[in-house]
Amino acid sequence: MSTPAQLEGNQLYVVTSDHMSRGRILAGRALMWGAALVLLLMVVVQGLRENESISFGFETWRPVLYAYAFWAVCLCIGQVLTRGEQGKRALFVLPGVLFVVSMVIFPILFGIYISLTDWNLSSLTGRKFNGVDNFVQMAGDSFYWNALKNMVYYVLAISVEYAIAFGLALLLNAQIRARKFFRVAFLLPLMLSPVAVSWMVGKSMMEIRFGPLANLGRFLGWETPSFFGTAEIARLTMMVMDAWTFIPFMMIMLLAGLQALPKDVVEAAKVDGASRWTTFWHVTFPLMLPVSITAILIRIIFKLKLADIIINVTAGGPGGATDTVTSFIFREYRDRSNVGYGTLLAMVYLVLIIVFITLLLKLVRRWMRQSY
Amino acid sequence: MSAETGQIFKDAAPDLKFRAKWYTRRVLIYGTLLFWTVICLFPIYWTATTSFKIAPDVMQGHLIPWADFEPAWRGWRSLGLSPQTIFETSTVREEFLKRFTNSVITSLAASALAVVLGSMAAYGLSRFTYRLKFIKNRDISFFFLSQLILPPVVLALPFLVLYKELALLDSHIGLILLYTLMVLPIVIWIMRDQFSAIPVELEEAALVDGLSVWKAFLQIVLPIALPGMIAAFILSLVLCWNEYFFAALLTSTDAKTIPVMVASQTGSQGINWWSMAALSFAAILPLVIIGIVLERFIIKGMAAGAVK
Amino acid sequence: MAEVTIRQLRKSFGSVEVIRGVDIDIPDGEFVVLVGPSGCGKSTLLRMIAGLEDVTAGTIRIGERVVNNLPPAERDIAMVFQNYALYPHKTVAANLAFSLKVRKTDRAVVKERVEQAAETLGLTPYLHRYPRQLSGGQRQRVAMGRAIVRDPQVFLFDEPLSNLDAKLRIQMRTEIKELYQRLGTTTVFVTHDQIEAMTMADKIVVMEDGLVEQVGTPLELFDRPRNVFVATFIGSPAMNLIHGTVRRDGAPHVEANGHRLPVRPDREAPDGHSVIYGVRPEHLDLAEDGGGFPARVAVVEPTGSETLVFLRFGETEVVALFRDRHFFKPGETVHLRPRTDQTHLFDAATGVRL
Repeated sequence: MSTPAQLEGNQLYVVTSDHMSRGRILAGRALMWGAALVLLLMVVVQGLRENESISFGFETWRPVLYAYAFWAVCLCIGQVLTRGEQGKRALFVLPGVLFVVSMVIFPILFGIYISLTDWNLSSLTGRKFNGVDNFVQMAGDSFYWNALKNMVYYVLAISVEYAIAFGLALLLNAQIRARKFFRVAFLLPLMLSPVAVSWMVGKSMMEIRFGPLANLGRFLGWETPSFFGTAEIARLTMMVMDAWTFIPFMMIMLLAGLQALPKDVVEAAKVDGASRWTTFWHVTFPLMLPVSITAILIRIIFKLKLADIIINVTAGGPGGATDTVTSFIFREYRDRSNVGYGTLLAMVYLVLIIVFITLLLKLVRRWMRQSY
Repeated sequence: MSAETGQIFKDAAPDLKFRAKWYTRRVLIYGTLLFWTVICLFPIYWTATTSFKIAPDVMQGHLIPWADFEPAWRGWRSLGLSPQTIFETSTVREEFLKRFTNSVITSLAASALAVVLGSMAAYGLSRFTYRLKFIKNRDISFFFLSQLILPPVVLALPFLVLYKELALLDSHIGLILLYTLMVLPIVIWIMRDQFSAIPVELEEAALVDGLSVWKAFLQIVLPIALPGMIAAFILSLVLCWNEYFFAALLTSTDAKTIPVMVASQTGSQGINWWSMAALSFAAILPLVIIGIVLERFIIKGMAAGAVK
Repeated sequence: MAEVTIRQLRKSFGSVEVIRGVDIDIPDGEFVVLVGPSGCGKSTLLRMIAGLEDVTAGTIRIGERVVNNLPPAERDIAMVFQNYALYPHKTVAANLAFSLKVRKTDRAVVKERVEQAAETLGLTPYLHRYPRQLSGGQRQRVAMGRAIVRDPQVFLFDEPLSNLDAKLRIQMRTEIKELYQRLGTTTVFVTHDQIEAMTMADKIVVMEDGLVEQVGTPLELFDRPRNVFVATFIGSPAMNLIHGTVRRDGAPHVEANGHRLPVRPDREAPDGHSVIYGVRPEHLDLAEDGGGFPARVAVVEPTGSETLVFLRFGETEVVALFRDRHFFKPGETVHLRPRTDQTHLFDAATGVRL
């Protein structure tokens, strides 16, 4: 029996007795507003001190953070006091929401402000608002556009990663012995710190004189096995290294999808006399489409954050050929302390990512829904 | 009864052909599997063996211990972790252990915090209906999950400035808060899946039995969702342990983590093969062990959401 | 123990009204079965009594208390769920003891009650097992045990037998009835299976489309169904319905397909009134003398103890159930005579009993 309530999903409906006494509600409100007032007061005092309007206050803004935490706790308690059972339910989500809002929304707003200043940590003049100057600089910054172009290449490389991951998932899903051993072995690259990988693979195994990969290259007839010599090869090398780390991720998602496939459908195709090839393209692959798209989407999201191995292996070189947006901005800050400009570049990148992902989601929604 | 026991049925030509095809397939499958295993494991092997090499062994590209070269404690001695040096005082070892402890503290604390916050939020979102003006459950879920696309570089510089003002630069707490934020969407993703797999009847039974909503969550739901929570925790742990970007920007002396130490070594002292290998290996070893021992949880975590 | 009184109860999910003004009185200690087809609102009604859905309008009273706004924990009810809802991480003993422990019952009392319940339900050997180590029937018994250790005012059962195989279901319904007779606790039992309802209930509430169609003892519903829906829903195989017109020339009868069907003379239907004529398959006799109405045999299903015959009377499908064995051939025409005092008349327009 399914009632409409159950059709709406796994929701828990339950009758509650919400008879809050007036005193309780008032106490709850007083607590919430009181704590908010304390927070506001501290912000004002600290702000004025910063402004050098007043001389008292605290050394740093840290106490304001405590006041925020205090307010957050009071807000939670106040919810229970004023709204009873409903408040207790809000308590599940409220801490998470407060945490993320304070950790994301506020810094982003602050970031937007910074991005419109000429703030450079090494300059002595301090920050000042410079309007669209940063935009103008960005428009002429060929390294930034180059990094964005590189991101396109990096994202496109996912298609190859996907094909390999799918193949491996199919192998692991076949009837094989020692499946667990292979699964663990295939998983391990994902567990390794990209920084360690940068050294292990990028610097040591690809060392031109005696790295084992260079030796292998020479053995296969590559005269000068330089993995970072030309722009194309360097970029390819970074793609391969990143793929090496992340193929297990897609492989495992796809493997989970394969294992959840309805067995009878594949068997029915076999009974109908379809070859393995036909079965794959006409049954397995279409059924795997939603899982595939999820895996690729998540992979794209991770790829857009690619930075660690670039920073540590090539530092963007040669000539920016391997730069990602993140690694470029990282250097912009670390080498030139250009906080204002760097933040603007990051903000623009964020907007581009949001637009790109939204379009992508719209595009693939059609295939995500299973129409059978 | 005849005492004859000889073979009666024999393989005909089609049978033999079938077997040949079957063998080819097997060889191909296992060949590919082994090939990829080598690709996955060789870098780890290379790092582990290099940490036992001395300069000439590295230069000549020797691969197999005892056959090619005689293992020495060279790399580990420079870290102060070889049998000879383990009981002597060593500044490098102290430095290493401090970074190691920092990594342990930050990743454990951030993962724990994320699992607590994330489980609560995921449970609330999967069971109750929230409304705040125009904001509904869907919007809250989307808000949490959309954090996944936020690139660290967007937050990095504002946080640098903010943390400076809040005196949180180069502190454990600062890093823990950021790491929690980083893994929270993943935890919520996994836990939402876990909770929606638990029939709501169980909580209804618990409520009829006399529990409050929170007690039902703690006493009935959480024990059942425990494997999912462990999966989420371990996945968070891996991500936090390996995180480099924030750590590189926001820590300097006190709170520096292992990846930052590894990265700084490559730059500063030229290439000191054996000690770098030992350091890298020590940095990845905890996760290699976790990967081997707790593989099923990691896979469970990553498979969540893949299959609806 | 307590009575349950439901007055003008309504429930809407958004704009969809699933309970549309229901009144039910359940006296103290009675076994009441809510029965109806899928989606009739019976489960929602039960969940409203339990406190798992809130009330849109009307009242629910358990004993003297209006419980509309009481959470389930404070209603002193116990519920057995369709999928049993056993706590998978607790042993059978812990499952049974859980509600008592939550209520801080004395340890010795808990032990005694759990042992007693396990004894009654034949679960003693399984007390230390986990739910996943039990068969479906055993799990079902644990679910019931969890309800009876509480000694609540009301038992609520939500289709508890629907996940069991047919044979076990028949055994369990006898056992549940015996358990009820021993405990005497007010019980509300939801099922979609009318045989379950007929065999177990003191009183049956037939629901359709959010409304109560009829309330009565099993035999009242069987003998005097208030409308066509109840008539066809209760009884298996279902009652035959034949459209016809009342004729009062001579002995009152219904004329259908050009034949005369006998009715009880006390039926108040004017001449020429359009009616639905109802007669149960077991109330059709074979008229060897050629009386009654003719029908063509379509399919014969002998079950050994009885013979089920599907026939066509004109365009109307008719089913007849005979206690003795007959060997009809498909296509053969036989004559059937309804037992006059076992026939029913319903208004053709409203479906209400005349």
